[in-house]
Amino acid sequence: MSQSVRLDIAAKRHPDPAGGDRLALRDLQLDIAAQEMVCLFGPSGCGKTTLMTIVAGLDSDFEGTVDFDGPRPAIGVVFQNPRLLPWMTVAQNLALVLTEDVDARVDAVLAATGLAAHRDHYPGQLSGGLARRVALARAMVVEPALLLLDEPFASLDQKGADELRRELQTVLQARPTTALFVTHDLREAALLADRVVFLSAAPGTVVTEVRLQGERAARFDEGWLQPALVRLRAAQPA
Amino acid sequence: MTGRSSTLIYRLLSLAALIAAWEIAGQLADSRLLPPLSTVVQVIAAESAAGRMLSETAITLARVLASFTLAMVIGAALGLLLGRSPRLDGLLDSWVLLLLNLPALVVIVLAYVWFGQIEAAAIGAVAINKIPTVVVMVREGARALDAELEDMAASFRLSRWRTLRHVILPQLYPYLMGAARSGLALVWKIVLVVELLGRPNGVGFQISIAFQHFDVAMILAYALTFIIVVQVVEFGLLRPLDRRLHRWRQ
Repeated sequence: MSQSVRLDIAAKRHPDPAGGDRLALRDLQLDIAAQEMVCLFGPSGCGKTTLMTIVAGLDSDFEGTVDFDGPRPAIGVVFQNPRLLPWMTVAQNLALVLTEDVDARVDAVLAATGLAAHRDHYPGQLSGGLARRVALARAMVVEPALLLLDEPFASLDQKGADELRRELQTVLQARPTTALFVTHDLREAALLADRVVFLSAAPGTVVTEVRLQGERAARFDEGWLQPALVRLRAAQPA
Repeated sequence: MTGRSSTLIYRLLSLAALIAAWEIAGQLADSRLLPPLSTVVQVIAAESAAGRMLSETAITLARVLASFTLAMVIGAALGLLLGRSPRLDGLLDSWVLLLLNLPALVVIVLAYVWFGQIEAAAIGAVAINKIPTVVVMVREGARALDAELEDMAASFRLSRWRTLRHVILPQLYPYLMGAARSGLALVWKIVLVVELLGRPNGVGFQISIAFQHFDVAMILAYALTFIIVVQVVEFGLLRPLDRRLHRWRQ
């Protein structure tokens, strides 16, 4: 998918319980090239999730622009919690976000993500890792031009998270997609990103960025990973 | 399994005890004012043979279903709106409170006085008695809706109808089922009053005739029949529906 995104957020304010408002994002410019995977890294509360909700179109109350170079594309979102509907089976959860060609697409994505055996299970019957895999499948089933991932593998153990990171690598290999990935884990950023963008503490703005090269599938190799982590730590703002 | 079957035995035993006590008390009293169960059953048989039992029960049941449906639909829609909009809730809350505390009899009498003793007035009056309790229960559920799921629906560009049908309503099912359960029991009792006061047919009308003749056996015959009908609706319709909606919890 050749979707590029240009973000230019002059200011985003949250109403304050005290009655005033709090600046969450300030002067944030970010261009994401077509098929690029950008990881947003920043301290908690720096407005990463706020930025995601703006790009997803859930929040239009900000100063600035989100430019897709055309109409809003199909966007697939993976949230921090899987946010599956517990009263629907895995297949139904995927079918819900589709309007055409439903059965064929659901079957294809379930097969591609190794979920075919779980198609008739309810989310309550799934492990945390499987539920997140379903959330990823739901984002892919809409055939997104842009993928938004907000700490999608947080709260999993490293083994489970790595399994899903590999899964995401495979999915993107098969179908290169522009993606914005929020994380607070440098190793995760190293494994997945074409570019890691460091944000400041609130109000969030871009401080610096690091480009990473290397086949994603080969990045689990310590020989690649360790030097990359050293580079990222060196660039990380204090 | 043993737990369930032993509960069933207790239920049957208790029902048998009730039937026996009724029969014995009736036989001992030997009075028109306290007929034994066997006499009541004979009256049910006679009324059924005359065709009246079926037609009167069907008429009452139709009124129950009409006012029940009306109350559930209007009450659920209003409850959802009030639960999601604090402003609207502030505006209408005192109205709901007023209706909630308005005696059923007052609503019925006023409906007949203002609109005449017509079918629409009867069914409307019953519905108005039930609507505020549905509003209050569904409003409770609407306040507890999961905003994260609605954000998910919005980010995947789900239509309003899909969001309502698949994301919002399922969260309200427990509240709707609660309202339906208590609603059915309340509505059929009020329908009898409405029939007694201003309809020329139905179970309530038959009871009013029997009342004029102090015919207790007739009163109990219609009451017993309708209790059974309502139980059939509860076990044949509401419980299977409830089980279906809760399949995912198992």
